[in-house]
Amino acid sequence: MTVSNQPMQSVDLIFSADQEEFGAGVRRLLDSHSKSADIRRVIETASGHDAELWRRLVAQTGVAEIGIAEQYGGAGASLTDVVVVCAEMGRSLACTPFFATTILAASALIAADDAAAQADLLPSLAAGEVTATFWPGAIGGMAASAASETVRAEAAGDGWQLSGTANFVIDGATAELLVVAASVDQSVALFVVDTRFPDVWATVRRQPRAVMDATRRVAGVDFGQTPGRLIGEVAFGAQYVGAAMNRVVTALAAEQAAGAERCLEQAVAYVKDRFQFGRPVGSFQAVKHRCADILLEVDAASAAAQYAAWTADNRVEEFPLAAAIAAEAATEAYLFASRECLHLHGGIGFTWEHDSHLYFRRARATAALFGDGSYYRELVAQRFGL
Amino acid sequence: MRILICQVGKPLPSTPEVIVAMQPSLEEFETEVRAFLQAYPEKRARGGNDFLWGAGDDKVALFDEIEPKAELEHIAAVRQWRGSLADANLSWITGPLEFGGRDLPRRYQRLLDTMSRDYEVPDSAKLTVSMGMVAPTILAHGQQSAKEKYLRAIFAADLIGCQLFSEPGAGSDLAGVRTHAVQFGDSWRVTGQKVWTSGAHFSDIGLLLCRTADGPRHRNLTVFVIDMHAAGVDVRPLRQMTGGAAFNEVFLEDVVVSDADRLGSVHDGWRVALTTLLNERAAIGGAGMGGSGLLSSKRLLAMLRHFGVDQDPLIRQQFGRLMVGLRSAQASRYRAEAKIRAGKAPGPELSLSKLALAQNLQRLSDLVAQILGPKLAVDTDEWGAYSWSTFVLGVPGYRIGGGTDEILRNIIAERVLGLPRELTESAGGSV
Repeated sequence: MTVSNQPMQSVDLIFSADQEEFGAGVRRLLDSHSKSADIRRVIETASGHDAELWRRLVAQTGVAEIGIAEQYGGAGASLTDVVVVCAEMGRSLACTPFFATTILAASALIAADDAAAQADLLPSLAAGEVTATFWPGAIGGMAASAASETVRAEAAGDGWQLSGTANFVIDGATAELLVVAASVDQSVALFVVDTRFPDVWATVRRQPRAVMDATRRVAGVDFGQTPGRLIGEVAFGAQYVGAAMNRVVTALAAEQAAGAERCLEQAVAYVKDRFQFGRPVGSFQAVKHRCADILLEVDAASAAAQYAAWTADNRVEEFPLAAAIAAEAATEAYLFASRECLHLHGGIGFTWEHDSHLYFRRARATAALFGDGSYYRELVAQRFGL
Repeated sequence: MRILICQVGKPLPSTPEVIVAMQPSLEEFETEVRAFLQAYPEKRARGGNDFLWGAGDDKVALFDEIEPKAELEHIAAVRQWRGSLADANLSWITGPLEFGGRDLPRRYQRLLDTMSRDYEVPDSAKLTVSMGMVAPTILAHGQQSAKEKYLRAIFAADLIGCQLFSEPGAGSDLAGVRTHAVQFGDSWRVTGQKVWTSGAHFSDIGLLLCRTADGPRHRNLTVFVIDMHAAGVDVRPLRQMTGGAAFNEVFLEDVVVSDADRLGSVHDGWRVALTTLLNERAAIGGAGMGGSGLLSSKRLLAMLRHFGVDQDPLIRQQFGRLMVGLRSAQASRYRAEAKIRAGKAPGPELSLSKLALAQNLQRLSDLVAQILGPKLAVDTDEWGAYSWSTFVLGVPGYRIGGGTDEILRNIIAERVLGLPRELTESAGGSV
């Protein structure tokens, strides 16, 4: 690892009119079809997904095509596009297969750079026809410390078979395609398990877990000599996972920053209206200074996410560093904003009826699953060459 | 090749198309700058922008506090450098043609700055107030005669300006200034006291905020440009906690100011002052830091390794947090700059930048203290150790000057988030 150089060219950190328009279209749809009442209905269901909403999003906005190259039926391989959409999804907490399919699984397939696998699988992901997910294993950001049980792969005939347990798989109970990082001897390789085939399906045991954040489901998945398709090369699995996770955490950072921004909007609206001592509580400095501090973190986090996407799209060497920086900033900003905005609502914020706890849960669960601030601070130090 | 035909004093082209056509391309501009730089200063000896531990000066100070004699020499060198830039028509790249500018986009200025870094040119940090705050205020609010008299001269450093705003009784509550001006025909007479005036001792002109009538506080202020060498102006150095004297007290007694040097309308000085303050926060929060390399990751990485703490998990956490703070604030500035380039005015968001910088300086201060241990408090003659003490002692000032952390939070809450103002006797609210 070397000290990454910052870009020499001018950094034009601005969304295009097309991107703004795309984001606005997604927001309009979510505003009318993924209201608080809709989310509360969906989180009580077994799947945890709003199938009707997903169908609408795919058909009317094309969110499933985002970040996928045009040759595979996508809207183009721009991570900045991804950041725009993830922000809208993060604001609304919409319960759909988007994150697991379009962010997690697609990122793994893109990172593995296996043309045949991409041609076979990405078009159906981009069309929103198939749901998928990605389990990065014990390496990568997700639950690095908790993922003690890993999946192993062995050559079997012409192909490979997977055995073992993948804990903490996002949408693990529902996703049709499972992209899995499994150990092969001393190295790691990526495999696709396609549970649409009955003989594959029969070897996979999925255990949906009770989760703190019901808007994003997690399952444990047991593989028992499950047929898997190798993607990319065996020796490079760890690199694929690393590259995929850089994309994932950048997307996630945009989602977290936008969730944090939504918390702030709700809190600001509340403290303007709430009167105590004969004045709006938002006129007290103790309250308004807290709001200013939240904005400071939210602004830095969303800018850092946008910048990380910019470095990826402009092939700037420091993308992995920028991704880790965005992840740290956004993880901390979301924890801070969701906690403090809940608090600014007073007793109302502690009720089940108020949405504050949905964001608090998302912020806390995301940090727990994908790495908290200290994890990313260490990663930043490493990526500076320490 | 496009030719720059527009010269000072000649009629200006009226249509934007003509102006665009006269601008040199970035490549042509680069050739022009290279020719200028090769003719003027010496090429910098150091190789590239690598940081080498133990090489050169180990000074790390937030406030420029050199000895008075050395400072005079430095100011003379800066004036000479700016003068030669002006002779080459390179002193004010983004300014209007009419007042000695080149009317070119900001990226031309950045190119000039980047190219200059390879040469031994004097650091222009001492002119931040003059060029970054006084000049934009004159440009926005000055009468035609004042713009002609001052702007070209400021960028050539024939004139250096300072900011005469704060007073002993008017700090965060700036609208409470008591220095007053009384009109006598075409001129005004000013009496009062200013404080915290950076660089007053080497300045030629001062941007003065004063009271021109009693009554509602924000509506009876006026801004003038005064001559710092005029009779009745007394500049006294103010020693700050670092031990140096970057600031001054300025006493004004019956100082005569021409009405032609009034900026904005009489009693409309609050609006004029807001222009200055907005530019102040942008200048302080900006990436520059006077090119001191204080916030350079290379310097910090070299320091961590030199003192053998690069594997310490707590230090790595602190380092990671600091770098996230610095880089995300930088990303936020990139975004604000892109907004400005797209034609949107800088807004109160710039206050975020200054607040972020103050926090990051505090983080850096805590980190170096952690790294150095007793060597921060005691000079062991080791290169790059005790020199940080000046920095650590300077950090508290950054949370106060240019709008305290608290005033900035008020501005962010009220202007950006739209929260209600404090209920006070002042109608003006926070700046």
